[in-house]
Amino acid sequence: MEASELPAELQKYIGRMSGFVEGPDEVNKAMIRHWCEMVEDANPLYIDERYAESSEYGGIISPPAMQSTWVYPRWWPPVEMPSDVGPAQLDLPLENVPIPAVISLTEEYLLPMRPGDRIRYRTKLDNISPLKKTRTGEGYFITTTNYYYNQRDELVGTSQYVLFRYRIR
Amino acid sequence: MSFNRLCWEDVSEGDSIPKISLKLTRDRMVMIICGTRDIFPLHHDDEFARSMGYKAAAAPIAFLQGLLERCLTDWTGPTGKIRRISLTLMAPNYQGDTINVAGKVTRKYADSDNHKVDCELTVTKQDGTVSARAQAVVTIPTRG
Repeated sequence: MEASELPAELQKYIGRMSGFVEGPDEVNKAMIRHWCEMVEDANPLYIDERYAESSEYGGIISPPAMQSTWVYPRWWPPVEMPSDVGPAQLDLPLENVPIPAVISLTEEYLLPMRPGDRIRYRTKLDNISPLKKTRTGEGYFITTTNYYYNQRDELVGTSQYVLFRYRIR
Repeated sequence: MSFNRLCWEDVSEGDSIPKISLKLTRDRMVMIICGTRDIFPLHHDDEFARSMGYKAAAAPIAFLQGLLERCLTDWTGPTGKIRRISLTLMAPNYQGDTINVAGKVTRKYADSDNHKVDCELTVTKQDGTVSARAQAVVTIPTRG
């Protein structure tokens, strides 16, 4: 296959938008604290009730990068995730390039997320590259964007992933 | 606790963003799963990770995102607002590694309603290996 061509069976997926998936829990202080413990982040907007109440937000807010954690599926009881949501895009016919590796991630943070908010998201498949050979292996670069919304249908942020789906050469 | 309250007037292009460091102890690897909820075996199962071409279980990206956020708001204080972070992954982070994040201000500017800085951040390991590079946009309040 020429490196410049993308098979039509993959081309047809470009541009598709998934349905929405809602996170299992509302934004909450306990999970915010667990995140802050992980990296020892002492930002008082996340963990200091009194400071946060006196701030422009009037209360605790979530670290912005937790947007993907708020929609991370529950571990139990088992939940079936649609295969077109998230960067993995598991339903693409790519059985011959089984290994996923995230290459880059760009996130935009538009609105604060507060305890009580329900975050849901959907994913657009922005692009699939032609077959590429790299030092790691050969495969396709898949670009997707997650769009995160709160319960008021406000866009709170986005994450654009570039994932390399490859096989070891 | 006391916090920085960085003001836009006090920032110059080229300013350093102070380094933070965290060691990936086994406890930390567990806290990362508690913090991110990401139980994909790549992040805790050495054998699975090796089957994917890694040397051992590796910390997830969300850990780096949390560390980048902390580096930025340790520097600005809680009145700095992170608007955008873009990161490129270059080397996995394994248990036992010490992860450092530091950066600098590359541009200072104002648009219609915000005073902003662009920053470059580098994530390095104890031996100098670059684990990730990131660019961030942060808004910072003006004095008064």
